[in-house]
Amino acid sequence: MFQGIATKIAIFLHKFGGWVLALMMFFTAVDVFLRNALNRPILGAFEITECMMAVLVASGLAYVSVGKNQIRVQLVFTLLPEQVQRVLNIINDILGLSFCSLVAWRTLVYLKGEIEVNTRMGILLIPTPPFIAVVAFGWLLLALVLLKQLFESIKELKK
Amino acid sequence: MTPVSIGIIGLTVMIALMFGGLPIGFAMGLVGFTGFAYLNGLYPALALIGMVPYRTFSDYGFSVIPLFMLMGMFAFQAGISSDLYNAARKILGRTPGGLAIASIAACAAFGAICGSSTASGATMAMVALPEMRKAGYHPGFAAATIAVGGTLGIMIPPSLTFMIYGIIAQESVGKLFIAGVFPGIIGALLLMGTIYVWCHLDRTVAPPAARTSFREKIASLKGIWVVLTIFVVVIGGIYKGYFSSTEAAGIGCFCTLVFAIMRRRITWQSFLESLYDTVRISCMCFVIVVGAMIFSYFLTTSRLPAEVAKVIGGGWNRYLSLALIVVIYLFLGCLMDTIAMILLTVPIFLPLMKAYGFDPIWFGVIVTLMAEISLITPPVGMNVFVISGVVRDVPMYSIFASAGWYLIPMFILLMLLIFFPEIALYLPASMQ
Repeated sequence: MFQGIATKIAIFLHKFGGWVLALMMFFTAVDVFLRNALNRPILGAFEITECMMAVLVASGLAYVSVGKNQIRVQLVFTLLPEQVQRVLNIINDILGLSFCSLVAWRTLVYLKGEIEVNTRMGILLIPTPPFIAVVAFGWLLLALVLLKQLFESIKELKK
Repeated sequence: MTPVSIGIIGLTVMIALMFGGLPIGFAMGLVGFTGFAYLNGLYPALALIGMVPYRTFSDYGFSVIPLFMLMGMFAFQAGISSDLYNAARKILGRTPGGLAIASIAACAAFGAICGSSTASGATMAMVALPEMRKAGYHPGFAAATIAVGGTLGIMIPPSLTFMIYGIIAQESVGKLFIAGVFPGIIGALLLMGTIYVWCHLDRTVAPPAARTSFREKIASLKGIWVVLTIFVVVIGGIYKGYFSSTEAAGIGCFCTLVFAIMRRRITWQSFLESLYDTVRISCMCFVIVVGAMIFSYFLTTSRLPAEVAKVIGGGWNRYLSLALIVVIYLFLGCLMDTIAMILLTVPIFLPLMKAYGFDPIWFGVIVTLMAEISLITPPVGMNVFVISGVVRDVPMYSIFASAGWYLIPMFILLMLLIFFPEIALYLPASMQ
Protein backbone atom coordinates (compact mmCIF):
# COMPACT_ATOMS: atom_id res chain seq x y z
CA MET A 1 0.00 0.00 0.00
CA PHE A 2 2.83 2.35 0.95
CA GLN A 3 4.51 1.80 -2.41
CA GLY A 4 1.18 2.42 -4.16
CA ILE A 5 1.04 5.82 -2.50
CA ALA A 6 4.62 6.48 -3.64
CA THR A 7 3.58 5.77 -7.22
CA LYS A 8 0.62 8.15 -6.95
CA ILE A 9 2.85 10.88 -5.54
CA ALA A 10 5.36 10.25 -8.36
CA ILE A 11 2.61 10.70 -10.97
CA PHE A 12 1.38 13.88 -9.30
CA LEU A 13 4.88 15.33 -9.02
CA HIS A 14 5.62 14.51 -12.65
CA LYS A 15 2.67 16.69 -13.65
CA PHE A 16 3.80 19.37 -11.24
CA GLY A 17 7.23 19.27 -12.94
CA GLY A 18 5.45 19.95 -16.23
CA TRP A 19 4.01 23.14 -14.81
CA VAL A 20 7.39 24.21 -13.51
CA LEU A 21 8.73 23.68 -17.02
CA ALA A 22 5.98 25.87 -18.48
CA LEU A 23 6.79 28.53 -15.91
CA MET A 24 10.50 28.31 -16.75
CA MET A 25 9.75 28.77 -20.45
CA PHE A 26 7.60 31.86 -19.88
CA PHE A 27 10.03 33.26 -17.34
CA THR A 28 13.01 32.90 -19.71
CA ALA A 29 11.11 34.44 -22.63
CA VAL A 30 9.95 37.39 -20.51
CA ASP A 31 13.46 37.94 -19.14
CA VAL A 32 14.98 38.02 -22.65
CA PHE A 33 12.25 40.36 -23.83
CA LEU A 34 12.68 42.74 -20.89
CA ARG A 35 16.44 42.79 -21.31
CA ASN A 36 16.56 43.26 -25.05
CA ALA A 37 13.49 45.42 -25.60
CA LEU A 38 13.35 47.52 -22.43
CA ASN A 39 16.88 47.05 -21.10
CA ARG A 40 15.37 45.93 -17.78
CA PRO A 41 16.37 42.32 -17.12
CA ILE A 42 14.90 40.42 -14.21
CA LEU A 43 17.31 40.58 -11.31
CA GLY A 44 18.66 37.11 -10.44
CA ALA A 45 16.97 35.41 -13.42
CA PHE A 46 19.89 33.00 -13.53
CA GLU A 47 19.32 31.89 -9.93
CA ILE A 48 15.56 31.62 -10.30
CA THR A 49 16.07 29.35 -13.33
CA GLU A 50 18.47 27.19 -11.31
CA CYS A 51 15.86 26.81 -8.57
CA MET A 52 13.18 25.89 -11.11
CA MET A 53 15.50 23.36 -12.71
CA ALA A 54 16.13 21.62 -9.38
CA VAL A 55 12.38 21.36 -8.72
CA LEU A 56 11.59 20.30 -12.30
CA VAL A 57 14.07 17.43 -12.47
CA ALA A 58 13.50 16.23 -8.91
CA SER A 59 9.74 16.21 -9.55
CA GLY A 60 9.94 13.97 -12.57
CA LEU A 61 12.66 11.64 -11.32
CA ALA A 62 10.51 8.91 -9.79
CA TYR A 63 8.00 8.91 -12.64
CA VAL A 64 10.69 7.72 -15.05
CA SER A 65 10.81 4.44 -13.14
CA VAL A 66 7.02 4.25 -12.72
CA GLY A 67 6.76 3.94 -16.49
CA LYS A 68 9.93 1.74 -16.57
CA ASN A 69 11.47 4.32 -18.87
CA GLN A 70 15.05 4.27 -17.56
CA ILE A 71 17.47 4.09 -20.47
CA ARG A 72 19.19 0.69 -20.62
CA VAL A 73 21.15 -1.44 -23.05
CA GLN A 74 18.73 -4.20 -24.06
CA LEU A 75 20.98 -5.91 -26.60
CA VAL A 76 22.25 -8.85 -24.55
CA PHE A 77 19.48 -8.85 -21.95
CA THR A 78 16.69 -9.66 -24.41
CA LEU A 79 18.65 -12.61 -25.81
CA LEU A 80 18.83 -14.32 -22.40
CA PRO A 81 16.34 -17.04 -21.32
CA GLU A 82 13.27 -15.69 -19.57
CA GLN A 83 14.19 -17.17 -16.18
CA VAL A 84 17.65 -15.56 -16.31
CA GLN A 85 16.00 -12.25 -17.23
CA ARG A 86 13.78 -12.51 -14.17
CA VAL A 87 16.74 -13.14 -11.88
CA LEU A 88 18.64 -10.27 -13.47
CA ASN A 89 15.63 -8.02 -13.00
CA ILE A 90 15.76 -8.68 -9.27
CA ILE A 91 19.50 -8.02 -9.12
CA ASN A 92 19.06 -4.83 -11.13
CA ASP A 93 16.22 -3.66 -8.92
CA ILE A 94 18.36 -4.26 -5.82
CA LEU A 95 21.31 -2.38 -7.32
CA GLY A 96 19.11 0.49 -8.50
CA LEU A 97 17.38 0.66 -5.13
CA SER A 98 20.74 0.69 -3.31
CA PHE A 99 22.07 3.49 -5.48
CA CYS A 100 18.98 5.68 -5.17
CA SER A 101 18.71 5.10 -1.40
CA LEU A 102 22.37 6.00 -1.02
CA VAL A 103 21.97 9.17 -3.06
CA ALA A 104 18.82 10.16 -1.13
CA TRP A 105 20.55 9.57 2.23
CA ARG A 106 23.68 11.48 1.28
CA THR A 107 21.68 14.37 -0.22
CA LEU A 108 19.90 14.62 3.13
CA VAL A 109 23.28 14.72 4.89
CA TYR A 110 24.39 17.42 2.44
CA LEU A 111 21.15 19.28 3.19
CA LYS A 112 21.89 19.16 6.93
CA GLY A 113 25.31 20.72 6.34
CA GLU A 114 23.85 23.45 4.14
CA ILE A 115 21.19 24.28 6.75
CA GLU A 116 23.89 24.60 9.39
CA VAL A 117 25.89 27.12 7.34
CA ASN A 118 22.71 28.75 5.99
CA THR A 119 23.81 28.71 2.34
CA ARG A 120 22.17 31.26 0.07
CA MET A 121 22.43 32.16 -3.58
CA GLY A 122 24.59 35.14 -4.60
CA ILE A 123 22.19 37.84 -5.83
CA LEU A 124 18.69 37.24 -4.51
CA LEU A 125 19.97 35.47 -1.39
CA ILE A 126 17.51 32.62 -1.94
CA PRO A 127 18.25 29.87 0.62
CA THR A 128 19.39 26.69 -1.14
CA PRO A 129 18.34 24.08 1.51
CA PRO A 130 14.65 23.89 0.40
CA PHE A 131 15.77 23.00 -3.12
CA ILE A 132 18.27 20.42 -1.87
CA ALA A 133 15.42 18.95 0.18
CA VAL A 134 13.28 18.68 -2.96
CA VAL A 135 16.10 16.84 -4.72
CA ALA A 136 16.55 14.47 -1.75
CA PHE A 137 12.80 13.79 -1.74
CA GLY A 138 12.90 13.08 -5.49
CA TRP A 139 15.57 10.40 -5.01
CA LEU A 140 13.75 8.96 -1.99
CA LEU A 141 10.58 8.64 -4.00
CA LEU A 142 12.49 7.01 -6.83
CA ALA A 143 13.91 4.51 -4.31
CA LEU A 144 10.37 3.70 -3.11
CA VAL A 145 9.16 3.17 -6.67
CA LEU A 146 12.10 0.83 -7.25
CA LEU A 147 11.26 -1.02 -4.02
CA LYS A 148 7.77 -1.63 -5.38
CA GLN A 149 9.28 -2.91 -8.61
CA LEU A 150 11.59 -5.20 -6.65
CA PHE A 151 8.58 -6.82 -4.95
CA GLU A 152 6.92 -7.22 -8.32
CA SER A 153 10.07 -8.80 -9.79
CA ILE A 154 10.22 -11.28 -6.89
CA LYS A 155 6.55 -12.17 -7.43
CA GLU A 156 7.28 -12.66 -11.11
CA LEU A 157 10.13 -15.05 -10.32
CA LYS A 158 7.91 -17.15 -8.04
CA LYS A 159 5.33 -17.67 -10.80
CA MET B 1 46.67 -2.54 -7.69
CA THR B 2 47.38 0.72 -9.47
CA PRO B 3 44.64 3.36 -9.88
CA VAL B 4 44.71 2.71 -13.63
CA SER B 5 43.97 -1.00 -13.08
CA ILE B 6 41.07 0.00 -10.83
CA GLY B 7 39.88 2.30 -13.61
CA ILE B 8 39.97 -0.53 -16.15
CA ILE B 9 38.17 -2.91 -13.77
CA GLY B 10 35.56 -0.23 -13.05
CA LEU B 11 34.97 0.36 -16.73
CA THR B 12 34.63 -3.38 -17.38
CA VAL B 13 32.21 -3.90 -14.48
CA MET B 14 30.15 -0.92 -15.61
CA ILE B 15 29.83 -2.25 -19.14
CA ALA B 16 28.92 -5.70 -17.76
CA LEU B 17 26.21 -4.14 -15.55
CA MET B 18 24.86 -2.15 -18.50
CA PHE B 19 24.63 -5.26 -20.66
CA GLY B 20 23.01 -7.07 -17.76
CA GLY B 21 20.10 -4.64 -18.07
CA LEU B 22 20.84 -2.24 -15.20
CA PRO B 23 19.75 1.28 -16.21
CA ILE B 24 22.77 3.14 -17.60
CA GLY B 25 22.63 5.98 -15.06
CA PHE B 26 22.56 3.59 -12.10
CA ALA B 27 25.40 1.48 -13.53
CA MET B 28 27.61 4.52 -14.03
CA GLY B 29 26.73 6.01 -10.64
CA LEU B 30 27.22 2.79 -8.67
CA VAL B 31 30.55 1.90 -10.25
CA GLY B 32 31.70 5.51 -10.06
CA PHE B 33 30.86 5.68 -6.36
CA THR B 34 32.48 2.32 -5.54
CA GLY B 35 35.62 3.09 -7.54
CA PHE B 36 35.94 6.59 -6.10
CA ALA B 37 35.51 5.17 -2.58
CA TYR B 38 38.23 2.57 -3.23
CA LEU B 39 40.68 5.15 -4.53
CA ASN B 40 39.92 8.10 -2.25
CA GLY B 41 38.19 6.66 0.80
CA LEU B 42 34.55 6.14 1.76
CA TYR B 43 33.80 9.58 3.22
CA PRO B 44 34.89 11.61 0.17
CA ALA B 45 32.82 9.25 -1.99
CA LEU B 46 29.76 9.66 0.24
CA ALA B 47 30.19 13.43 0.13
CA LEU B 48 30.48 13.26 -3.66
CA ILE B 49 27.20 11.44 -4.23
CA GLY B 50 25.46 13.78 -1.82
CA MET B 51 26.57 16.84 -3.73
CA VAL B 52 26.51 15.83 -7.40
CA PRO B 53 22.73 15.30 -7.88
CA TYR B 54 21.70 18.72 -6.53
CA ARG B 55 24.51 20.54 -8.35
CA THR B 56 23.63 18.78 -11.60
CA PHE B 57 19.90 19.34 -11.38
CA SER B 58 20.27 23.00 -10.48
CA ASP B 59 22.94 23.73 -13.10
CA TYR B 60 21.84 26.66 -15.24
CA GLY B 61 23.61 25.22 -18.30
CA PHE B 62 21.50 22.07 -18.15
CA SER B 63 18.25 24.01 -18.49
CA VAL B 64 18.74 24.01 -22.28
CA ILE B 65 17.85 20.32 -22.31
CA PRO B 66 14.18 20.49 -21.21
CA LEU B 67 13.58 23.81 -22.98
CA PHE B 68 14.81 22.70 -26.39
CA MET B 69 13.02 19.37 -25.97
CA LEU B 70 9.80 21.22 -25.26
CA MET B 71 10.33 23.29 -28.39
CA GLY B 72 10.51 20.06 -30.43
CA MET B 73 7.34 18.78 -28.74
CA PHE B 74 5.44 21.97 -29.57
CA ALA B 75 6.74 21.82 -33.16
CA PHE B 76 5.39 18.29 -33.44
CA GLN B 77 2.02 19.26 -31.97
CA ALA B 78 1.85 22.27 -34.31
CA GLY B 79 2.12 19.97 -37.31
CA ILE B 80 5.21 21.77 -38.60
CA SER B 81 6.59 18.45 -39.84
CA SER B 82 3.59 18.02 -42.19
CA ASP B 83 4.00 21.55 -43.56
CA LEU B 84 7.68 20.99 -44.22
CA TYR B 85 7.18 17.65 -45.91
CA ASN B 86 4.32 18.99 -47.99
CA ALA B 87 6.46 21.84 -49.32
CA ALA B 88 9.48 19.61 -50.01
CA ARG B 89 7.28 16.99 -51.70
CA LYS B 90 5.70 19.50 -54.05
CA ILE B 91 9.04 21.01 -55.02
CA LEU B 92 11.17 17.87 -55.26
CA GLY B 93 8.65 15.04 -55.64
CA ARG B 94 8.74 14.71 -59.44
CA THR B 95 12.36 13.52 -59.72
CA PRO B 96 13.14 9.80 -59.21
CA GLY B 97 13.45 9.34 -55.48
CA GLY B 98 11.94 12.81 -55.11
CA LEU B 99 9.78 11.89 -52.14
CA ALA B 100 12.83 10.44 -50.38
CA ILE B 101 14.83 13.58 -51.18
CA ALA B 102 11.91 15.62 -49.89
CA SER B 103 11.90 13.55 -46.71
CA ILE B 104 15.56 14.32 -46.11
CA ALA B 105 14.95 18.03 -46.74
CA ALA B 106 11.98 18.00 -44.36
CA CYS B 107 13.98 16.07 -41.74
CA ALA B 108 16.80 18.62 -41.97
CA ALA B 109 14.36 21.50 -41.64
CA PHE B 110 12.56 19.84 -38.75
CA GLY B 111 15.97 19.22 -37.15
CA ALA B 112 16.33 22.99 -37.03
CA ILE B 113 13.62 23.17 -34.39
CA CYS B 114 13.89 19.75 -32.80
CA GLY B 115 17.02 18.57 -31.01
CA SER B 116 16.37 14.85 -30.94
CA SER B 117 17.08 12.39 -33.73
CA THR B 118 14.58 9.81 -32.62
CA ALA B 119 11.87 12.45 -32.25
CA SER B 120 12.68 13.85 -35.73
CA GLY B 121 12.65 10.34 -37.22
CA ALA B 122 9.44 9.27 -35.52
CA THR B 123 7.66 12.49 -36.47
CA MET B 124 8.70 12.39 -40.11
CA ALA B 125 7.93 8.67 -40.32
CA MET B 126 4.30 9.35 -39.56
CA VAL B 127 4.13 12.07 -42.20
CA ALA B 128 6.37 10.87 -45.04
CA LEU B 129 6.30 7.08 -44.92
CA PRO B 130 2.65 6.60 -45.92
CA GLU B 131 3.22 8.92 -48.91
CA MET B 132 6.30 7.02 -50.05
CA ARG B 133 4.60 3.66 -49.63
CA LYS B 134 1.60 4.92 -51.60
CA ALA B 135 3.92 6.05 -54.41
CA GLY B 136 5.36 2.53 -54.67
CA TYR B 137 8.69 3.09 -52.94
CA HIS B 138 10.64 0.07 -51.74
CA PRO B 139 9.52 -0.27 -48.08
CA GLY B 140 13.03 -0.85 -46.67
CA PHE B 141 14.43 2.06 -48.66
CA ALA B 142 11.64 4.40 -47.57
CA ALA B 143 11.97 3.46 -43.89
CA ALA B 144 15.78 3.69 -43.99
CA THR B 145 15.58 7.14 -45.59
CA ILE B 146 13.50 8.45 -42.70
CA ALA B 147 15.73 6.74 -40.13
CA VAL B 148 18.81 8.37 -41.66
CA GLY B 149 17.11 11.72 -42.23
CA GLY B 150 16.09 11.76 -38.57
CA THR B 151 19.74 11.58 -37.51
CA LEU B 152 20.22 15.08 -38.96
CA GLY B 153 18.23 16.29 -35.95
CA ILE B 154 21.31 16.04 -33.72
CA MET B 155 23.71 17.72 -36.16
CA ILE B 156 21.52 20.66 -37.11
CA PRO B 157 21.02 22.88 -34.05
CA PRO B 158 19.43 22.73 -31.55
CA SER B 159 20.87 19.34 -30.67
CA LEU B 160 20.64 17.21 -27.55
CA THR B 161 24.00 15.63 -28.37
CA PHE B 162 25.72 19.01 -28.56
CA MET B 163 24.12 20.01 -25.26
CA ILE B 164 25.39 16.87 -23.51
CA TYR B 165 28.83 17.15 -25.12
CA GLY B 166 29.08 20.85 -24.26
CA ILE B 167 28.31 20.22 -20.62
CA ILE B 168 30.70 17.27 -20.27
CA ALA B 169 33.49 18.92 -22.26
CA GLN B 170 32.84 22.31 -20.63
CA GLU B 171 32.57 23.94 -24.04
CA SER B 172 30.09 26.60 -25.14
CA VAL B 173 26.82 24.95 -26.19
CA GLY B 174 26.11 28.01 -28.34
CA LYS B 175 29.37 27.58 -30.27
CA LEU B 176 28.67 23.88 -30.74
CA PHE B 177 25.22 24.67 -32.13
CA ILE B 178 26.68 27.12 -34.60
CA ALA B 179 29.44 24.63 -35.52
CA GLY B 180 26.76 22.10 -36.50
CA VAL B 181 25.08 24.34 -39.08
CA PHE B 182 27.35 23.73 -42.10
CA PRO B 183 28.04 20.03 -41.41
CA GLY B 184 24.27 19.55 -41.01
CA ILE B 185 23.51 21.24 -44.33
CA ILE B 186 26.32 19.41 -46.15
CA GLY B 187 25.21 16.12 -44.57
CA ALA B 188 21.66 16.68 -45.82
CA LEU B 189 22.91 17.54 -49.33
CA LEU B 190 25.13 14.43 -49.41
CA LEU B 191 22.20 12.25 -48.38
CA MET B 192 20.03 13.82 -51.08
CA GLY B 193 22.78 13.27 -53.65
CA THR B 194 23.03 9.63 -52.63
CA ILE B 195 19.31 9.15 -53.11
CA TYR B 196 19.46 10.86 -56.49
CA VAL B 197 22.26 8.59 -57.72
CA TRP B 198 20.73 5.48 -56.15
CA CYS B 199 17.33 6.06 -57.72
CA HIS B 200 18.87 6.75 -61.11
CA LEU B 201 20.81 3.50 -60.94
CA ASP B 202 17.84 1.47 -59.71
CA ARG B 203 14.57 2.97 -60.92
CA THR B 204 12.44 0.31 -59.24
CA VAL B 205 13.36 1.56 -55.78
CA ALA B 206 11.54 4.88 -56.03
CA PRO B 207 9.30 5.79 -58.96
CA PRO B 208 8.61 9.50 -59.65
CA ALA B 209 5.61 11.03 -57.89
CA ALA B 210 2.78 13.02 -59.47
CA ARG B 211 3.61 16.33 -61.13
CA THR B 212 2.64 19.53 -59.29
CA SER B 213 2.00 22.92 -60.82
CA PHE B 214 4.22 25.96 -60.24
CA ARG B 215 1.42 27.63 -58.30
CA GLU B 216 1.12 24.63 -55.99
CA LYS B 217 4.87 24.73 -55.40
CA ILE B 218 4.78 28.39 -54.43
CA ALA B 219 1.70 27.91 -52.25
CA SER B 220 3.39 25.08 -50.35
CA LEU B 221 6.19 27.42 -49.28
CA LYS B 222 3.91 29.22 -46.87
CA GLY B 223 4.40 26.42 -44.36
CA ILE B 224 8.14 26.99 -44.26
CA TRP B 225 8.34 30.55 -42.94
CA VAL B 226 7.63 29.47 -39.37
CA VAL B 227 10.64 27.15 -39.20
CA LEU B 228 12.79 29.73 -40.89
CA THR B 229 11.71 32.43 -38.45
CA ILE B 230 12.22 30.28 -35.37
CA PHE B 231 15.60 29.09 -36.63
CA VAL B 232 16.78 32.61 -37.43
CA VAL B 233 15.61 33.92 -34.05
CA VAL B 234 17.10 31.06 -32.03
CA ILE B 235 20.36 30.34 -33.85
CA GLY B 236 20.79 33.91 -35.13
CA GLY B 237 20.30 35.18 -31.58
CA ILE B 238 23.01 32.85 -30.27
CA TYR B 239 25.31 33.68 -33.19
CA LYS B 240 24.91 37.41 -32.77
CA GLY B 241 25.33 37.15 -29.01
CA TYR B 242 21.88 38.51 -28.18
CA PHE B 243 21.21 35.64 -25.82
CA SER B 244 22.68 32.49 -24.33
CA SER B 245 21.63 29.03 -25.49
CA THR B 246 19.29 28.65 -22.49
CA GLU B 247 17.60 31.95 -23.30
CA ALA B 248 17.44 30.97 -26.97
CA ALA B 249 15.72 27.75 -25.93
CA GLY B 250 13.15 29.67 -23.88
CA ILE B 251 12.46 32.10 -26.71
CA GLY B 252 12.29 29.34 -29.33
CA CYS B 253 9.92 27.35 -27.19
CA PHE B 254 7.69 30.35 -26.62
CA CYS B 255 7.64 31.31 -30.32
CA THR B 256 6.74 27.75 -31.35
CA LEU B 257 3.93 27.68 -28.80
CA VAL B 258 2.59 31.03 -30.00
CA PHE B 259 2.66 29.77 -33.59
CA ALA B 260 0.84 26.58 -32.62
CA ILE B 261 -1.82 28.60 -30.79
CA MET B 262 -2.20 31.06 -33.66
CA ARG B 263 -2.73 28.23 -36.12
CA ARG B 264 -5.12 26.54 -33.66
CA ARG B 265 -3.04 23.41 -33.87
CA ILE B 266 -2.47 22.84 -30.20
CA THR B 267 -5.17 21.82 -27.78
CA TRP B 268 -5.06 22.12 -24.03
CA GLN B 269 -4.57 18.37 -23.83
CA SER B 270 -1.68 18.32 -26.31
CA PHE B 271 -0.08 21.28 -24.52
CA LEU B 272 -0.14 19.31 -21.28
CA GLU B 273 1.12 16.17 -23.02
CA SER B 274 4.06 18.14 -24.41
CA LEU B 275 4.96 19.38 -20.93
CA TYR B 276 4.67 15.97 -19.29
CA ASP B 277 6.55 14.13 -22.05
CA THR B 278 9.34 16.67 -21.92
CA VAL B 279 9.72 16.28 -18.16
CA ARG B 280 9.78 12.49 -18.50
CA ILE B 281 12.39 12.46 -21.28
CA SER B 282 14.51 15.13 -19.61
CA CYS B 283 14.55 13.18 -16.35
CA MET B 284 15.57 10.03 -18.24
CA CYS B 285 18.60 11.99 -19.46
CA PHE B 286 19.33 13.55 -16.07
CA VAL B 287 19.56 10.17 -14.33
CA ILE B 288 22.29 9.26 -16.82
CA VAL B 289 23.99 12.62 -16.49
CA VAL B 290 24.18 12.27 -12.66
CA GLY B 291 25.62 8.76 -13.04
CA ALA B 292 28.09 9.98 -15.65
CA MET B 293 29.22 12.86 -13.45
CA ILE B 294 29.97 10.51 -10.55
CA PHE B 295 31.66 8.09 -12.93
CA SER B 296 33.80 10.83 -14.47
CA TYR B 297 35.12 11.80 -10.99
CA PHE B 298 36.19 8.18 -10.57
CA LEU B 299 37.74 8.02 -14.03
CA THR B 300 39.70 11.20 -13.44
CA THR B 301 41.12 10.02 -10.11
CA SER B 302 41.99 6.64 -11.64
CA ARG B 303 44.10 8.54 -14.21
CA LEU B 304 42.77 6.18 -16.88
CA PRO B 305 42.02 8.97 -19.40
CA ALA B 306 45.55 10.33 -18.99
CA GLU B 307 47.05 6.86 -19.47
CA VAL B 308 44.88 6.19 -22.53
CA ALA B 309 46.08 9.53 -23.91
CA LYS B 310 49.66 8.45 -23.24
CA VAL B 311 49.21 5.04 -24.90
CA ILE B 312 47.24 6.20 -27.95
CA GLY B 313 49.15 9.43 -28.13
CA GLY B 314 52.58 7.92 -27.65
CA GLY B 315 54.19 9.38 -30.73
CA TRP B 316 51.45 8.22 -33.10
CA ASN B 317 50.37 10.25 -36.06
CA ARG B 318 47.43 12.34 -34.82
CA TYR B 319 45.20 11.21 -37.67
CA LEU B 320 45.94 7.58 -36.83
CA SER B 321 44.81 8.23 -33.26
CA LEU B 322 41.71 9.95 -34.57
CA ALA B 323 41.01 6.97 -36.86
CA LEU B 324 41.29 4.63 -33.88
CA ILE B 325 38.86 6.77 -31.91
CA VAL B 326 36.43 6.77 -34.84
CA VAL B 327 36.62 2.95 -34.95
CA ILE B 328 35.96 2.79 -31.19
CA TYR B 329 32.94 5.06 -31.67
CA LEU B 330 31.69 2.85 -34.51
CA PHE B 331 32.00 -0.19 -32.28
CA LEU B 332 30.42 1.41 -29.21
CA GLY B 333 27.72 3.00 -31.33
CA CYS B 334 26.62 -0.45 -32.42
CA LEU B 335 26.16 -1.46 -28.81
CA MET B 336 24.92 1.41 -26.72
CA ASP B 337 22.77 4.50 -26.48
CA THR B 338 24.32 7.68 -27.92
CA ILE B 339 24.04 9.73 -24.72
CA ALA B 340 25.72 7.01 -22.70
CA MET B 341 28.40 6.65 -25.37
CA ILE B 342 29.18 10.35 -25.26
CA LEU B 343 29.15 10.57 -21.48
CA LEU B 344 31.42 7.57 -21.23
CA THR B 345 33.95 8.41 -23.92
CA VAL B 346 34.32 12.19 -24.03
CA PRO B 347 36.14 12.45 -20.66
CA ILE B 348 38.61 9.82 -21.97
CA PHE B 349 39.13 11.00 -25.55
CA LEU B 350 38.83 14.76 -25.29
CA PRO B 351 42.12 15.35 -23.39
CA LEU B 352 43.88 13.27 -26.05
CA MET B 353 42.32 15.21 -28.89
CA LYS B 354 43.25 18.49 -27.22
CA ALA B 355 46.83 17.26 -26.72
CA TYR B 356 46.99 16.54 -30.45
CA GLY B 357 45.87 20.05 -31.21
CA PHE B 358 42.36 19.20 -32.42
CA ASP B 359 39.76 21.81 -31.60
CA PRO B 360 37.28 20.63 -28.91
CA ILE B 361 34.35 22.23 -30.76
CA TRP B 362 35.39 20.41 -33.94
CA PHE B 363 35.70 17.17 -31.97
CA GLY B 364 32.16 17.75 -30.69
CA VAL B 365 30.97 17.79 -34.30
CA ILE B 366 32.90 14.57 -35.02
CA VAL B 367 31.40 12.90 -31.94
CA THR B 368 27.93 14.01 -33.02
CA LEU B 369 28.49 12.59 -36.50
CA MET B 370 29.56 9.30 -34.94
CA ALA B 371 26.42 9.43 -32.79
CA GLU B 372 24.40 9.92 -35.98
CA ILE B 373 26.02 6.85 -37.52
CA SER B 374 25.38 4.84 -34.37
CA LEU B 375 21.67 5.55 -34.70
CA ILE B 376 21.43 3.53 -37.92
CA THR B 377 23.96 0.76 -37.39
CA PRO B 378 22.86 -2.68 -36.15
CA PRO B 379 22.22 -4.18 -33.70
CA VAL B 380 21.35 -1.10 -31.60
CA GLY B 381 20.34 1.42 -34.26
CA MET B 382 17.88 3.44 -32.23
CA ASN B 383 16.39 5.34 -35.16
CA VAL B 384 15.83 2.12 -37.09
CA PHE B 385 14.08 0.69 -34.02
CA VAL B 386 11.83 3.73 -33.81
CA ILE B 387 10.92 3.67 -37.51
CA SER B 388 10.42 -0.06 -37.35
CA GLY B 389 7.90 0.56 -34.57
CA VAL B 390 5.96 2.85 -36.92
CA VAL B 391 6.04 0.45 -39.93
CA ARG B 392 5.61 -2.93 -38.35
CA ASP B 393 5.16 -4.75 -41.68
CA VAL B 394 8.69 -3.88 -42.88
CA PRO B 395 11.33 -6.30 -41.55
CA MET B 396 14.05 -4.62 -39.54
CA TYR B 397 16.86 -6.28 -41.52
CA SER B 398 15.46 -4.71 -44.69
CA ILE B 399 15.70 -1.24 -43.08
CA PHE B 400 19.22 -1.90 -41.80
CA ALA B 401 20.27 -3.20 -45.23
CA SER B 402 19.10 -0.04 -46.98
CA ALA B 403 20.45 2.20 -44.23
CA GLY B 404 23.88 0.66 -44.83
CA TRP B 405 24.15 2.51 -48.15
CA TYR B 406 23.64 5.80 -46.38
CA LEU B 407 26.84 5.23 -44.44
CA ILE B 408 28.75 6.22 -47.60
CA PRO B 409 27.67 9.91 -47.54
CA MET B 410 28.16 9.98 -43.78
CA PHE B 411 31.74 8.78 -44.12
CA ILE B 412 32.29 11.30 -46.91
CA LEU B 413 31.13 14.00 -44.49
CA LEU B 414 33.50 12.61 -41.86
CA MET B 415 36.40 12.85 -44.31
CA LEU B 416 35.40 16.37 -45.29
CA LEU B 417 35.31 17.40 -41.64
CA ILE B 418 38.71 15.86 -40.96
CA PHE B 419 40.44 17.44 -43.94
CA PHE B 420 38.50 20.70 -43.92
CA PRO B 421 37.81 21.43 -40.22
CA GLU B 422 36.79 24.97 -41.22
CA ILE B 423 33.44 23.48 -42.26
CA ALA B 424 32.67 23.22 -38.55
CA LEU B 425 34.90 25.97 -37.22
CA TYR B 426 34.31 28.89 -39.56
CA LEU B 427 31.00 30.03 -38.05
CA PRO B 428 31.98 29.65 -34.35
CA ALA B 429 35.16 31.64 -35.04
CA SER B 430 33.11 34.50 -36.45
CA MET B 431 30.60 34.53 -33.57
CA GLN B 432 30.03 37.74 -31.65
